[in-house]
Amino acid sequence: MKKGFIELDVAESLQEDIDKSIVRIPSKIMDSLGLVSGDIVELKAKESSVAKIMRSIRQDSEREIIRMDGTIRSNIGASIGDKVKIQKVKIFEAQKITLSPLQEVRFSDEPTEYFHTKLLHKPLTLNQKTIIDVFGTRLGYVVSKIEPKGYVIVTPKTKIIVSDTPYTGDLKATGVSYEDIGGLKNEVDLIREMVELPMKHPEVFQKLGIGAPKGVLLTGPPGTGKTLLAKAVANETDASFFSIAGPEIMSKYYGESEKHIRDIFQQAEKNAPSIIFVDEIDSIAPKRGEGTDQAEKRVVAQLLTLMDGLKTRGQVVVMAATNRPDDIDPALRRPGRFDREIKINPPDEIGRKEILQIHTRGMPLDRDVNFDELTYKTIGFTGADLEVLCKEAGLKAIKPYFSQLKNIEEKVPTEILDKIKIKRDDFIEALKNVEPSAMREVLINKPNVTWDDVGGLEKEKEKLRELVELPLLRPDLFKRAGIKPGKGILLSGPSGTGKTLLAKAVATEANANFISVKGPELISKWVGESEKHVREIFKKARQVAPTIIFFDEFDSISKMRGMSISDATERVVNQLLTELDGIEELEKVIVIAATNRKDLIDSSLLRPGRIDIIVELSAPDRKTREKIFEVHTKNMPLDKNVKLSDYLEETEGWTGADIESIARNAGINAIKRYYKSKMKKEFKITKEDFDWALEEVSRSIGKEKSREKAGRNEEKSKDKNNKKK
Amino acid sequence: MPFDDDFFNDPFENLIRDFFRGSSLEQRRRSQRFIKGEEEDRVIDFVEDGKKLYLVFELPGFDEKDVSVMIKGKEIKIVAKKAKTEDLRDYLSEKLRRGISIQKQLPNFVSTKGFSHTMKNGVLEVVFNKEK
Repeated sequence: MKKGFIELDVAESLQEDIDKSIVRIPSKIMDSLGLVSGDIVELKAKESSVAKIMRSIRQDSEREIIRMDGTIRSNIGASIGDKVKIQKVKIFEAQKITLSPLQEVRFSDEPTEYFHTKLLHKPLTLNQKTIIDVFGTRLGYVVSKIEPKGYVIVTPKTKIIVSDTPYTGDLKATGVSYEDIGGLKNEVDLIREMVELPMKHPEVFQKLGIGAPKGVLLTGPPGTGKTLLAKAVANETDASFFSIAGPEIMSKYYGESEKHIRDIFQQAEKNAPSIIFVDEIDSIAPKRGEGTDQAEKRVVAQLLTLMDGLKTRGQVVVMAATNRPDDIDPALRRPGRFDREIKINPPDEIGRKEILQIHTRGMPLDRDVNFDELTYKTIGFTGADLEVLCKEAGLKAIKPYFSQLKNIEEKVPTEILDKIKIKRDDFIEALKNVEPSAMREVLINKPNVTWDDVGGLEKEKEKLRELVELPLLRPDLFKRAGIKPGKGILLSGPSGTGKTLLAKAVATEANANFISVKGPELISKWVGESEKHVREIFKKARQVAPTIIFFDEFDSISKMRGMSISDATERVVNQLLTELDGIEELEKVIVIAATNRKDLIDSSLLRPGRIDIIVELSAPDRKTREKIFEVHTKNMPLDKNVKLSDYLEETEGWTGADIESIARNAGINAIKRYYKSKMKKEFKITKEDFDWALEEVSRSIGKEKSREKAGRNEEKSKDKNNKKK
Repeated sequence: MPFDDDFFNDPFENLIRDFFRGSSLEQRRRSQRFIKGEEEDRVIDFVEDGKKLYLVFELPGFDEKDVSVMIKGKEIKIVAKKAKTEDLRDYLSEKLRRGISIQKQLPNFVSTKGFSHTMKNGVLEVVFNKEK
């Protein structure tokens, strides 16, 4: 097979090879061509260019593919799946190179040095597009002059001229390529199959006697990359691209709005193959007959007939994006109009890692940045959120240099620029400011309570861990065992025994999104609103799964049906029932409910398959009380004479909250004493403080206890305890 | 410390991970960032293929005569340094004269005998045979 050249299929490049002018082919093929890593090859498709060759990773070793990034693909005019001819070429050392930017760009500092370091040992040829990363911004440059002519390589001797005037020659602007989309591999494949295939090989469809697909509807929450996907498809397919921004086409003149749409379709037909992209399609094609005005109805009707009318459309594919697919006229959603609906979900772990890699591509990252860790910490983040996170981290990294930068008003010296690194801490710091946009409405700050802060309750902790953490962290184990994890847990027990505390600890430790629902808050005076709230909560939870939904004071929204006065609570219970065990599967969402009136809860909520696990909490035993004392006095400067074990007997039957209040009262007493003594003595919390506190607290709860026994004012005592917390 | 990391993951661990997470190019990829004596990180590729292991280093700016590869026990050391920098662009000369040195533990299964290396256009490739 020693013929000097070979034909291979183009595939997308690895994330870390992007913008490096590297192509990767399997070792076997390299050996047969007599190539080693670093050799320069000529790539020939529609046009030709040069790139450095490297060995593919092992997974590719049996396939005849060549991996290259979007820039190289556009340089040679090939797209994924095309054939490209590869041949070893002779290369000369470049004497002089002029680079012209593709867009207006201004540097405060002479950029030549930076550019030269980035370009060292890069193969170049005339009119080749190359991307230079300048601290996260990818700048497109074109090689506008070259000496000697032909294929050259940049050496430390080369003279580099970076021109300020943008390149004016005929060239497609650098667009979005498939590598710029992270974590949507399946979706990209689906769209390519639907859009790219019919455009490139219409003969296949003719032969089969089927019409090409006509439309794709992209749905999904905001920020997941619907528009980006459309842009990338347009860029990679070489099709003409027409975009309809929803509200833009509306006109005040009768019939004008429809005409706009017709015109766009006409133009698209003329320039076929083409893609028409309708962003925010819900705004121009809402359901007819739902109180919309006449003009809107006509626009919808026009769209319907254009998409599937008497006239055939030829090679025009319509792509539309929306985050409210249910608001679109149902007639649009049938096959023949939008043949396929692709739902784009927030990225999973692997997707998030890819997205982070894409956005940090040009960043000077410090060594301690660990993508796996960041991926783990960004559950529920969409692509847009992750982008902001990276930017935020970048800004955080620059901050310390700001003062230095200000002094030198004219330009930023390269020494300083070189020093800037984005560290792990910058990302962690940025994480505090950026939160998943899908969760904005329901997000709470994660409580800072760990398992260690919960004294005692070992059995309960263990149980929660296995019920909550295990299904979220290791769903594979459940799959192997062939069972489904439980959906809900009820924490029940008298007030002050640590139900809410446990839930808080779960929220911090389980690394899942945490939605906290305060029972009474759900009830609205409008009919239907309360149920809608419940629905919304579950919908959100599904979207950003894994999620824990925590219902505090669960009895307030789950009263036995048929007993309550108001109809609203009953409907809320019904809604909860269907959400917990309905037709729609509840995956990776766990419900934790806390109550001290288990008897009031509708029994069908507690049947197996719904909230079937009940964790009973009771007043702590002696050992647990000791643990609780330990937890609460952990940070207190205790005097030597304080022996916590002395108080264990006397606190028989006390709850965790009561014990906390002893510790607090002792602390307050000590502060008082210390303050009175004009802060002379060393600050210590003594035995006397504790004795006093014990007396004080037992007097206060002693009263309440008796009241509780009388079965009255239950709520009041709870209120008090809550306040103490 | 990235140096302490085991170069190659345990094959069993890989198997498990692939099984549970699904395969992804990035995850199975064996490249690492490490460097000693210089600020920048750079990506180093490890490509295993049949009986051979290829180590690929990117050393832009250096030529074949600037690079030396040494093996000591199971450790590989690469030093790249430009001796003559007079005719280079002055802003690069300092950096290239200072040079780079990279040190790394080799995985156990390679034979350190009979390795070869090529340096082409700023890419150093060291080829090892695998031990039987």
